[in-house]
Amino acid sequence: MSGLTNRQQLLRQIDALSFSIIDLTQFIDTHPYHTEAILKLQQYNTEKTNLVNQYSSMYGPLSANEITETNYALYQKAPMPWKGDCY
Amino acid sequence: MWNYEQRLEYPINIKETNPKIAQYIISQYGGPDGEIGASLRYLSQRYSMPYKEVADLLTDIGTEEMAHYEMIATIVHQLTRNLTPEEIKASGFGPYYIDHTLAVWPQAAGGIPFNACEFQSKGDPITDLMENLAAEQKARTTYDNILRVVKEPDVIDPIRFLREREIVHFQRFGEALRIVQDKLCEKNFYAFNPEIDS
Repeated sequence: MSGLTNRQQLLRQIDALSFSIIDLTQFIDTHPYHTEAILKLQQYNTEKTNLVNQYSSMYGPLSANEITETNYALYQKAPMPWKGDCY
Repeated sequence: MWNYEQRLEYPINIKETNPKIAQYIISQYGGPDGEIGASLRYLSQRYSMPYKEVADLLTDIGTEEMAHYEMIATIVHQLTRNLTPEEIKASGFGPYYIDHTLAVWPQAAGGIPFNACEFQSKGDPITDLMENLAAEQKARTTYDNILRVVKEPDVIDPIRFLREREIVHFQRFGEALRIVQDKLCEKNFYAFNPEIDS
């Protein structure tokens, strides 16, 4: 992940965990007794919550769920996701 | 209920604008096999789906499709931002520009507006799941067609991700169809419609 800022690197880690959560959730819908998949989902959910909290405290909340009095100014200034890294 | 996270499902960073390929890619926004149609199809079908696991799958895939139409809109936006009138005239983007300036609007590559007649919500689980299996394959073919004519690395990287999701969703809907058939009369899957006959 060379050439990326610390913010972008952290966001990429959140993207990867979130993708695993989306894929596993759909898998579990049709494999409800797959304990290994459910444990993995639980692990990724915990890891994502930790990274999102870390990101929110440093760069502003990713969603309304993480807004606090101290980070709201960062939320307003956050780049719109469709602008990409280069803008 | 939904929550919005200020990020894309998969990162998109297109450095060079290219209005010609934006006109191809926009078909996966509002075209016949596009992501808005996919999302509306699954999120509409789930209300009458009698089996919880299948309704959950329709919700979860329908939700992911929303993230996909945000990705497609992002590709179109990044391919067309800051275009000059000369670039617009030279690329064939003029007719779209006259109606929508540089905004994103759901239409097919050929200019046909998005229309709910491009999908069905039929109220029969076998019918709807067969529709969804076909839809995932049609979207995969569209991505194959895009990949055959678009070679820009910044564009094809997210397009390959989206193509792969069509294949995974096809697999999941196939599993859902088996779950439904297991709950029906094994000698005649069509003996009754579980969404209306009880």
